[in-house]
Amino acid sequence: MPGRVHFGEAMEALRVDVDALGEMAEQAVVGAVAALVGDPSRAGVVIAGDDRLDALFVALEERAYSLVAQQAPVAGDLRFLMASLRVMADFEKMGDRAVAVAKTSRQPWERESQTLLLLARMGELALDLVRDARRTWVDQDLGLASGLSARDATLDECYRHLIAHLVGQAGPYASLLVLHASAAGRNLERIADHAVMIGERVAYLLTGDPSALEAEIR
Amino acid sequence: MADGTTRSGDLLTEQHRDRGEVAAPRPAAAARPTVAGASDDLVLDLKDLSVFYGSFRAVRDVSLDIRKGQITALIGPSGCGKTTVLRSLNRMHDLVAGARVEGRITYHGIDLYGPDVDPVEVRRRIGMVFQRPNPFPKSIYDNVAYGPRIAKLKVNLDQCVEEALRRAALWDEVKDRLKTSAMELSGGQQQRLCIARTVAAQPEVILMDEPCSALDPVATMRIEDLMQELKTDYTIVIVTHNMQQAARVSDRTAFFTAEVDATADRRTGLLVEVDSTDVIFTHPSDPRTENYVSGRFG
Repeated sequence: MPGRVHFGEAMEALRVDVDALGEMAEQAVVGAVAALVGDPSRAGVVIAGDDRLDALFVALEERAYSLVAQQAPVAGDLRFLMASLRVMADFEKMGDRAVAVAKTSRQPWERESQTLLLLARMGELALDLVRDARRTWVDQDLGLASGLSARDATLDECYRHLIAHLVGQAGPYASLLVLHASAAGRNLERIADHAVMIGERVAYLLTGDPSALEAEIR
Repeated sequence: MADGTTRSGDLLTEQHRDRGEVAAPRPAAAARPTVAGASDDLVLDLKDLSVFYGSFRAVRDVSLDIRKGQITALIGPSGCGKTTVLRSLNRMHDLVAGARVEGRITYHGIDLYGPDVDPVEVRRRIGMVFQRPNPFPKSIYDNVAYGPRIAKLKVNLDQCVEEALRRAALWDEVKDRLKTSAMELSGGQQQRLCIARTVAAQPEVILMDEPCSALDPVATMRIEDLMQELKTDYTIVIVTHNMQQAARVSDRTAFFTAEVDATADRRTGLLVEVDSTDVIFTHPSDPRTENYVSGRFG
């Protein structure tokens, strides 16, 4: 008979609930990208929803601390709880970045077509990474975790194209366009970085190999 | 290591010393090399160690190195042989009828069970602190002075007793009542007195067999703090059932388990894994270690 049944159940519940937080973050990113490139009215839901996301994050963080304090986890259990604390923080920060993107969509700036195309592409890539980061966490999938970093490079390249495109803008609306579009692009790029970090943390959780956390110091 | 050679030479019997094979005097405590920069020095080296009680093999095929200035924890479930291995490190099994050791244990390169080795000197160089405090029914002073007296160490006894009691973090509590009975001390104080008694014999290695299992949490923490101070001058091997204690105090951890012969209703201990304590408690290599340290016994 395996020991520590209740502890195991509590860890499993935490895994599922951290994914629920991830689902909220994913929905926030979906709404933020939609608001940015097409329907600014969706921004309100994203902004209002962040309080719920933050509240769940705080509750999960307290649960994880309690498990650390009361169960004295070691080895795989310790790695799981440490990973869960970092993964939930990554999801929470994704939510914050999504709010920032949503707020950008409410600002008055010229929706120049090529800029919107590039932002839409970035949003699509970021969302794919967020969805797969969730799967990586909930399925504890090492193969998926290992692939996230390479896919982030595509998004980074897209971001560089956006910046190059914005640098070439001129005219009376250029300054606001550059300001808001570059900020939105930066936030989408950071959302993807958090997705990559989730992959790295799951890889460390599964292998115990500290080199899996190299993205942290890049 | 020059000093180590001197110490292991001390293990030889009087006849060998008389033949001039080992002439160097026992080093004084103050002359010990510092541990800094020498943490990799091999003190005890176990190769394929098996311990038998009659025909029963209690432990098999243990290979393990004990390094200078480190605390090595031996952990594992009951009956896994960790105490048996610990007791083999200072030839305590010599005192048990029918007990014998196969394989090899070297101390600074000298076979600890070699025919020319003096087991009494082994136990002085490799001292032991037991599970339950076992002070002699004598005064505090006489308890600490006992070892130097019987070993005829040429030391100033008063200084030796004070030094040992200071090393055991007990001096301030007992300095005004050295002549009172050790039996009047609390359990935690008695255990620190036993550590002082061990230290007074000027060992190089201190073996501790669950030294805190009979103590309350406060006394346990004092012993654990003391171990951290002692490891600057002594090599420590501790057997503990308290995995958190192993995680807190040790530099390296060896995990033992037992294989069960159901037909004979016998358990034989074996070493599963030894690594830095950090690795054992974060990402051990063997799933049996993972299951044990995380409380899932499989």
